[in-house]
Amino acid sequence: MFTEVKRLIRFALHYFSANLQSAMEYRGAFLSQVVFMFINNLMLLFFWWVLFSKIETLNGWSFRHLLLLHALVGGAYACQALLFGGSFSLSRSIAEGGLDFYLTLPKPVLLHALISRSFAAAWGDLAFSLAVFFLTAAPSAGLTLCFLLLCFAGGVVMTSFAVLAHSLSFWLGRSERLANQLSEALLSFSLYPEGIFSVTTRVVLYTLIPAGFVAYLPVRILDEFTLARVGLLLCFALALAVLARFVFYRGLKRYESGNLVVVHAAD
Amino acid sequence: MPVPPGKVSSMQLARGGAVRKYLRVAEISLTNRLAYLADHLVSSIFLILILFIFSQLWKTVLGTEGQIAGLDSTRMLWYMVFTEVIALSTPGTHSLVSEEVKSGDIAYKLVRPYSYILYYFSSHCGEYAVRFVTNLLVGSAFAYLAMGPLAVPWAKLGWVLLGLALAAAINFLVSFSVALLAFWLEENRPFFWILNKMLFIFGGLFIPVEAYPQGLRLVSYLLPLRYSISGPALLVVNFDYAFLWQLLAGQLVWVLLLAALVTAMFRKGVRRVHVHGG
Repeated sequence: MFTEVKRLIRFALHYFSANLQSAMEYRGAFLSQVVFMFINNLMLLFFWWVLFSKIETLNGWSFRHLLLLHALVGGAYACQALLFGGSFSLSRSIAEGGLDFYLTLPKPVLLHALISRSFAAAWGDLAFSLAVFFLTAAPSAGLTLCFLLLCFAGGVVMTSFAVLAHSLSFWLGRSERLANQLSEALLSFSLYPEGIFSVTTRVVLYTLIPAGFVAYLPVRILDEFTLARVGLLLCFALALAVLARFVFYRGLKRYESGNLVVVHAAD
Repeated sequence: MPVPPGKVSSMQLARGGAVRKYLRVAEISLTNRLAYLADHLVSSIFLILILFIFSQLWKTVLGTEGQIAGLDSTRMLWYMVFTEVIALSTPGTHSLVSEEVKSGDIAYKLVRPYSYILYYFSSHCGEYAVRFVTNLLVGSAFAYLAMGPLAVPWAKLGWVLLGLALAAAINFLVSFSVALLAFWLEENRPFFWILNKMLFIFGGLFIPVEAYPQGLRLVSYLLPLRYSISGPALLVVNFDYAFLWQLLAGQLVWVLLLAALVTAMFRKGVRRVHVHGG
């Protein structure tokens, strides 16, 4: 089993490297995307800076918490976009018969579809995430490792949620817009502090739209580390990934080939 | 072969006179969008999501007594209804133009009997009208249910509509000028990202620019974005004649300046178009 896992990790790394080389082919465009994405994210913090110049805290959330939240969500999003970029267009592949390519190859279909794409601009998200984290937390090596783990777990939650949303296409047909809006909802809720939401909304944000596991719980972990919280986050991420995999393969039984003959190349 | 520069640009601009033609373009665009009304309503889910988050935020921050820039929590949400409706209703005309310039398809449009800029402006207005009405209906319904009604200045509705119309024109001209950068740059998408985020800040998308520290407020007063997003929204929720005159003056200045810029960019850019047979 370990050999198989090692082989899959190596397979994913090959794709990651190929996607990176492909993006670097146009170095100017790559760098401009990264730099502009960094600035783009920085500007998102402006609103909070203005707001926190007028108030001290927001139901227990300070500006520092907000910065950590943005660092974590930026890192989680970068993880999804860089490692599992195919999750953004899964429903289109399903509706247009684009999974044919993956079905003919001796690799896990879902993993292959997810890792086959990567978004160069997300390097800007990663740079933003790390910069904000280092400036805010002045971290030790251990805390940095913990931060990277939390970002990865958040990325797995975001990817699994996207897979679940996009898998609706197996049953509903073309539902790309719905899937995108659900993913957008997860990202949007993740970018606002938990303290502003009512109890009912928080229940939703820890279950149906799991922003709590992408943003709120990781911020608490960075603020006050406990193994129980880390364990809870990792268990949730793993369980959601297993559920997403189950739903995808269940839906795949309903998949109909598009009889498309296309050249498949890394974007 | 290269397109004769003087000829094309003067032809393009001289064709701007036939108002009826452009009204027809706007009407076609409007009718096209009406065919996808259900689609628009689905897109409004994002608007509800953002308004929901901010209704919770303003309730928490301002409670029942607090104010920011003279607006209480109810009016802050209504302010956001209008800023979001303006921003979300702006069609993606710029991406079409950008793609046409990059792919060279613009050459097909240049030989048609209309001004390229006015054609897209008319089309933009038609689509904007449909989006604006549907988004406003959805946004207003949500804000009414979440925070209660807004005291609408019905008697001054004409002034408000004028402010909103000029705001739409500024939005079009700003994004069109960025789209025209495609004549010179291979990749102009990052400029749109930045423009979008500048709308957040200097357009006052989430919070009126009047709430900013003095230096930033001054910068936003000097840029067109405040006149296209924050200004008209503030006028609706907090109507005041002194502010109205200031807003309209700023809007008119920016419409003229940006129209001159777009025309100059288009004239210069179109000289770089090379038409090849095929």
